[in-house]
Amino acid sequence: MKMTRLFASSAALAVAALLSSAPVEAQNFSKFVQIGDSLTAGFLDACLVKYGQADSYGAILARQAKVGEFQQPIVDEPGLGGCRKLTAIAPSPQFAIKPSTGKPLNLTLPRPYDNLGIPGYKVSDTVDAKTSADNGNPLTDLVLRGLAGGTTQLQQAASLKPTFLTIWIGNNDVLGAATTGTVIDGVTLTPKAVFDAKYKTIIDTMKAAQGGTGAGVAIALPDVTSIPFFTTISPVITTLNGQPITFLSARNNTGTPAPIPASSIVTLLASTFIGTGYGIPCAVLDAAGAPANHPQRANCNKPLPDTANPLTGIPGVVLYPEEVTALKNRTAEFNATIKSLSEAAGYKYFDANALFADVVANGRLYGGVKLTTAFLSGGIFSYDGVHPTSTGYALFTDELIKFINKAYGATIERPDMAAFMFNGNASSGGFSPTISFPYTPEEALKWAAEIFPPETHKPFVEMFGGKLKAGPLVPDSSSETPVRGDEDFVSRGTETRE
Amino acid sequence: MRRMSRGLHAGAVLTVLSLLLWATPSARAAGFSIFEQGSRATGMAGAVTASINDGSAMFYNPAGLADNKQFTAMGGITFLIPDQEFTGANPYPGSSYTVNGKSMIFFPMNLYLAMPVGEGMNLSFGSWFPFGLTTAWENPDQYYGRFISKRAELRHFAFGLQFSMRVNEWFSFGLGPELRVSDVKLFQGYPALNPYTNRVVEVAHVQVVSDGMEAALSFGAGIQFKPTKKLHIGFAYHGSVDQDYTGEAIFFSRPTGYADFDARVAGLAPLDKPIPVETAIQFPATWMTGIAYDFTDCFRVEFNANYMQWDIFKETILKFGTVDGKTLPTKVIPQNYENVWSYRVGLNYKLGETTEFMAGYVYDQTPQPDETTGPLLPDANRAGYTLGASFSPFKNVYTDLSVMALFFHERTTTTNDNNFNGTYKTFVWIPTIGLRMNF
Repeated sequence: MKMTRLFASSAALAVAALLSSAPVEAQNFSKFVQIGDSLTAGFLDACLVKYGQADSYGAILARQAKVGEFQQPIVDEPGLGGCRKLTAIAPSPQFAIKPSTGKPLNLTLPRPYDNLGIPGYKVSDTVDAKTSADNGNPLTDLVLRGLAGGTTQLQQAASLKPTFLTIWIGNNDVLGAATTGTVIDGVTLTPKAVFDAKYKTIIDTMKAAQGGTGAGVAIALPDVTSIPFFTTISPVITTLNGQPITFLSARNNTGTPAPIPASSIVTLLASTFIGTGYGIPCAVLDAAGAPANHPQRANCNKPLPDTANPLTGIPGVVLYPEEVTALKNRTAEFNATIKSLSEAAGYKYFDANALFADVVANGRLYGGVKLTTAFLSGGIFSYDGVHPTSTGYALFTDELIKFINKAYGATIERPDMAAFMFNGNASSGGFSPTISFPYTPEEALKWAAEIFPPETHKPFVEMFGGKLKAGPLVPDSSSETPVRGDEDFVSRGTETRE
Repeated sequence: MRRMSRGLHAGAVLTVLSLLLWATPSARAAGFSIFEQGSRATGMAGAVTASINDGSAMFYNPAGLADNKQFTAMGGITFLIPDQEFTGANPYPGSSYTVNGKSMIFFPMNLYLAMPVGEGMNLSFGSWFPFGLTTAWENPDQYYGRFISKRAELRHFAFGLQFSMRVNEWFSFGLGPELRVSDVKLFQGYPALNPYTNRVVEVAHVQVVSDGMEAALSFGAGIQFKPTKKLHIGFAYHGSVDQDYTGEAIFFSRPTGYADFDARVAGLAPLDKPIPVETAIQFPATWMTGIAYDFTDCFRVEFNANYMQWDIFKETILKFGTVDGKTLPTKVIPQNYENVWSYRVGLNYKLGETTEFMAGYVYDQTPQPDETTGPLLPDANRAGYTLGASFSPFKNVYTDLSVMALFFHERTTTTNDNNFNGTYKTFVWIPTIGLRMNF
């Protein structure tokens, strides 16, 4: 099954924890329901798959709170979306992509799932989308299944009349702009007014469904620009002679390529382009003594794409400082809305943004082992650089349980982090890696198409006066697509923030 | 307290004594201090500072030997038999996790020689073990605290030379230098996140060992008052020591089976070869106060209140040298110990001229805060009950026996710095045997 919005589904973050044990006397968890996106769904390694869903933060919370029944839309191995599997770390990380052929295992449940998290969802999807046709997201049908003649995520959650609710929606209202390197208010970035209205609908509907109790937690949106997808590749290249320079790009993909400001963000997707020379001044290759046939000479002095190309689906991989500021500001605005609306309705506001910032700054120490947000080596983020590992979800749930216990006077037992740290979420066996990272041009376009789905195209199409037709992406053979090449220079020439 | 030059080694005599006194004492008084330095004294729970008069006065109160009128030799063995259990808590290492301390028996020894050098004057030489530590856990390569400590050993001996003198009928004093000799060993696992499995693995077994015995100088002193025939008052002091150690660390590689990951680990640290390392440990000063009263000619009761200035022990710093162009970051282990009191009560009943029976009770506060209580040293407040007896099988020969049942309060940590929390249960049997001979 084709999965769209791979990374768009995600949101940002990061962080932490679990919860558990029965505060029966303090808080009724007999019907625990979740509204959310990929972070609620247990998405990781760029896919929706059983080994991630089993340890979604809701699943961990339900176990710890001793919830009798907690149903999720479990997807069997090898998952949907193409789970990434690390196949090598030297000279640069190599990933295989598993086939996206996982079968749903819980489709016949005659009622809505308790975990209604749907990867890629924005606040408008939660309120308005009843089928995949409404939002172009195939996972809508997987989770909502047209129950009751077609109902939205919000309607299904309300129909369950939860005694306890978590709401963690809105990450994709920011993240899509960030992962595509294309920050356009009203296009890739959800306008504040739209967000406020939709979120209010969610809060009002659920409070009414809960009999006005407001029992539950509304979770803030983390600062997406702090996740490994945006922090692993430094904008600064350290040349062989030690002179620091920045990559080349061109604002809005127009004009003469120029060094980007040092406070810019270069996304993880840029490694595909950097591998073939994009963004690297030819003078750097000269100084490094790169031979004439060095693969990076093919595209040196050419800019890293700044914004997404609606024709090819190739995303931008650079966020200029003002774009970063815009993302942070909008996140802050959304969080202000979440806090004010949720608390006014009686829900507790869990500041996942502050938590994530703390984890980014300090990591978490367990028994002499420090978990950090570093890509691949930190233990908290999965192979997609956006979603947590099972350990990361456990860490988040642990923090959430501490919050719930304090806010509600509950006594939910915190999760056992050792079980996650020493058992991991390894998905070993059976799959022969055939595709490596960085991608071939075809793979890069396929990935870009997943990240930059047709529904995101629509505003672009409209911007161009409807001359473009939204639909499946077709590679533009005339465009300067990257080619897979030797990573030798990249491994020496890029500085990572590990 | 003056520090001697780093690496100073004890002389030949001290070396021999070191061999005689070899032992790995486990910490059985507050922190890693040890208070069982003589069988008679231990029988009274160490409440002897006001009245001690045998060789162990070198530790309990140097003034106590002022009245020694014969050449006296005293030696003893203290057996330390700990039983330790840890039950974890969530989130780490988990509420279902339990591990036992490794079964061990230690038998540190002490030796005291005292010789009168004039009327009311005495010269004494002796060795005891005022500090020591061994903690080890079962299945050290598997247990969940292995990245904090698999095994820790600290041996700390005092070699003292003291002069004691009776000034008048009611006042005596004693004092003298102490050479403190010690070594330290630490074994732990080195963790990393295997990116292929997203699991924490041990990529190296780390061994940090000091070079031989390091020495530093301190001193001990004490006074005893006897304001009335039946009332005894004593004060004693042993100085602090800031002991530096040099040694080497070796990171023994533990291949994971992922070649490029192992290569990356090898690129971060010099594996399988000695790395110079420096560290230091601060040993606190000890103040002892005691008051004893002879209710009859054969029955004495003594109460002691002792104070240890543990706040000198704030952190342990491991500085690594550079090998193959790679330098490991300095490791700082916070300690943040606090000054503490211990309270001791001892009873002594004499049956004739050569037979004594002792009993005692001690309550000893731990100087270790919750934040640093962990696998390296899980200390706790403790209460000890003692019984002892002394008799003379031959003329001028005395045999001392005692036993202490030391109950550590169950200690549950929730704020450990390493987020390694749970409940420690510890009990220690401490039988002792001693021999005194007058010549």
